[in-house]
Order: sequence, then structure tokens, then C-alpha cells
Amino acid sequence: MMRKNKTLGTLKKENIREQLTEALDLPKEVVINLPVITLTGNKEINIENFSGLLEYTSQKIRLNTRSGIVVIDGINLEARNMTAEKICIKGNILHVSFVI
Amino acid sequence: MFLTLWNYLRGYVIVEVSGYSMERFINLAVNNHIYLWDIQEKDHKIYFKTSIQDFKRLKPYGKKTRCRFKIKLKQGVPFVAHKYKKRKMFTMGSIIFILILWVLTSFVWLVEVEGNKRINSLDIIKALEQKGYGTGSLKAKLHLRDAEAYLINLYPDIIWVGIKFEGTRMVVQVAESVPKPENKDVNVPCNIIAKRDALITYIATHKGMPLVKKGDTVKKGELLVSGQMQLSPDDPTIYYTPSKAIIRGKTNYSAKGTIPLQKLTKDYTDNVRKKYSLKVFNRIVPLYNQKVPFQHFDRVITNNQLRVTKLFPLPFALEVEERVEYIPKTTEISEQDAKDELVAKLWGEMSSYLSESAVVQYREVFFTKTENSVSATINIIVEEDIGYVTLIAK
Repeated sequence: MMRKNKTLGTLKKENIREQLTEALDLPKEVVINLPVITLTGNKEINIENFSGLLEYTSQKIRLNTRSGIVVIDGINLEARNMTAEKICIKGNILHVSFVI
Repeated sequence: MFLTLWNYLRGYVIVEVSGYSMERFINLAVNNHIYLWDIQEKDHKIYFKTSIQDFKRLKPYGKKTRCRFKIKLKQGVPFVAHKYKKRKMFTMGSIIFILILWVLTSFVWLVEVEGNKRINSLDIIKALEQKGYGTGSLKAKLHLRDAEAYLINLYPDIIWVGIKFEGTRMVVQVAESVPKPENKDVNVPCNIIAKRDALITYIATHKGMPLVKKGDTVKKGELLVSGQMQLSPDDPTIYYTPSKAIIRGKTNYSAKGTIPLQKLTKDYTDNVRKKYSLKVFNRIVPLYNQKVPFQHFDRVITNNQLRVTKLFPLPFALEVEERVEYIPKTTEISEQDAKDELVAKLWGEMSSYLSESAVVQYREVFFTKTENSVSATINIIVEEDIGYVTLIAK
């Protein structure tokens, strides 16, 4: 019960923030830490502003971000380099989806 | 490209991780500023690359997440260097190799001359060698500016010399002066004398006192027009003038020659025997010598300078001597052919030393035939300019 309340509270807070950035025309990735996902064909995907790995296999990579879990399905996936904020994944990408 | 090179220089390890929460392990590592790259998953194990320093910091996170991790492969310069630390002879050998290379490249092994047209390159090289600027001298001991000054003083025709080192080559760049035009100062008093024995056919004097007239025969060196004159028939005061005259005369030329009636020709066959030898400094070391099974042969020698690149010629040259077999053949030529050939040859010889103004007026050829040769004498009479201007010695 407590937990649900807390998530609701953060969602409300986020809504206010989102509206504020919308109103001021600020970049959302900076203010609300939303992920910036860049796809280069189906070969490479760059994700900035992620907060951690949830699953890492060569077929499926799940990442935690501010806008939910990003699921990348593909073949021979491989992280080229990885820092706390940015991950670059190479391989044959089939799906990119969000799970909330 | 550069990143991989940089990583190789710094050295990295490939780490194999196994356990249940490998993702958490990676999250922890990444959040603590450990840089990982090329993360791969295979058979429920994760492989990634990380630098040596970062690998040492992984231990607490492995304990926390209960992941086992070990080094799969070490790669990079630091590991290679560590490996070769034990091989003392190898490192010593490589150091000696570099030293030898350095010592050998600090000498001049080839002198090249560029830009000369009238002066022979070999002369310049020899002149430099006499002063100690030859092949085999230490580069550091040569004072190039002194050598330049020396060359300029030695050859008055050279107006500029630039000497520089290009690797083990010493390149001498030469600029020759434009040849000075002949001094035709009209105000210098001079005489005109005869170039050859001649019969004067035409004389027109512009300045000076003519001493001969048409129809006279003159000897070589005889005074034709004098620059020394009286002021007037009454006034005996002498003055000097630059003589100027057009004097033409008939002169004789003759040439003699013989030609054998049998001619030796060489029929080259495909049989070639080679001899290789290495030329070290000025010594020749034979390497491989094929036996020569034939009697008559010509030698063709080619010299190949060995060089590392274009810039670094070595003091060694490979000399290849080719012995090409020929079959000597004597062929008879007819008398008429021999005569024609001889006349053509003599005529060619003669016309090379006739002056430009010469006009051939008469020509005769005598042949004498011996047993196996023909000889000929050509006499020609030409009309040409015979005047030669000389300064008056006062």
C-alpha cells in the first residue's frame, strides 16, 4: 500500500515537472532524465540516460530507464562500450519496445 | 581505430563472469566508473574487456553480487613487455640491432650530384673525396658549408652549391653559371691572321691595313690585316685599330683510311653464364660463379646498389656479370661495297672538322688495293673564312 502511494506520488511530481519543461521549452532529457535512443538502421542502438542493466543475453537486453524498461530483441547483441550514462549496442536489432 | 590502439598500448584483460546476477555486477561496476567495452554473452557467461587498473577494482563487486570472475586473456603492450623482460638475450639483440642500424645510418654511403650539365659528376665526387667528403665518412664530422665553399672555389663555373643529407645519401646540388659570351669588344686593337695555308680568293677590309690581296698564297699564322696604322701617308704617327675584314681563301683537306675486305661479325647466342659477386666498400666478394663452357664471349656488368629505402642506400652492391656467348663469323665483302663504306666513313670524319662557312669546291678520291684491304685518300679543296682575330701585344 505504501509502495503504491509512493509511486503515485512520484508520478504526480513527474507530471508537474513535465508540464513545466513543456511550458518553458526545455530539453526533456536534461530536466527529467528521459532516455535518448538513437538507432542506426538495425545495426546499432545508442541509449543515453539509462539507470542499469536488468537482463543481458545475446538475444535480449533489458535496460531500466526513466520512461520504463527498454527491451531490445535481436541476434548477436553485444555492448560495444558502457558507462554509467551511456550504452552502445551492436548486432542485428529486431525489436525495441517499452514495458511499464 | 585509435581507441583500439590506445587500449592495446595501455593493456587490457578479457574477463569471464559467471553467476546468477551478472547484470547487477555489471551495473555496480559501471556505476562506480569502471569502463567496460565489448560486452558479450555466451552460454550464460558474460565476457567483457576492461583496463588493468579497473580490473583490480572489480573484486568487491564480485563479492557483493556473488559472481565469479576470472581473466580469460591478457592483451596489450604491458603484458608483452612483461613477457620479454625474462628474455634478456632477445632484448639485448633488439637493442644491438637498433644500435647497429643507428651507427650504419650515420655514415654517408652514396654521393649523388644533381643539376650539373657541363661538369662531370664523377669529377665533383672525386674532388669531394680528396677533401674527405667521400662515401664511408661519418656524417657528423662533415662540415657541409666548408665543402660547398671548397667546390665553389674549385670550379669557377659553379655559382651555387647546396649539399645535404638524405638518409645515408649525400646529395650535392649544383647550379652552373650561364657561359659568358665571347668578349667582342670592338675597341680593343687587334690583327687578323690566317687560320690555315690558303689561297686568298676574296678580301674586304672594313678596318685596318690589308697586307695581302686576292690571289696571294698565305701560310698559317701569317698576318693578313694589321691593326697598326699610320695616321695618314704624311704623318708617321702610329695608331691602333680593331681590324675587321672578311677574308675567304681556298684550303686543302685530306683524309686517309683503310678497310679490310673481311669483316668480323658477332652472332650472339642465347647461352648466358652469370657471375654474382657482392661489392663491399671497394672489395669484391664472389658469391656464385657459373662455369663458362664456351670460348668467345662478351661481358656485361651491372651494378645494383642495395638500399633499405630510396633514402638509405647501403654500402653493399650486387654485381652481376653476364657472359654472353657469340659465334665469330668472317664475311667477305665486295670491293665496291668496301670502297663505298670507306668513302662514307672518311667523308663523315672530314665534315666534322670543316667550319660552317666552308664550301666544297673540288673533291678527289684515290684507292689502293692490297691483298685483303682497301685504302683510300680523299683530297678536297674548300673555300672558307680564313681570318682569325688576335689581340695586338703592345
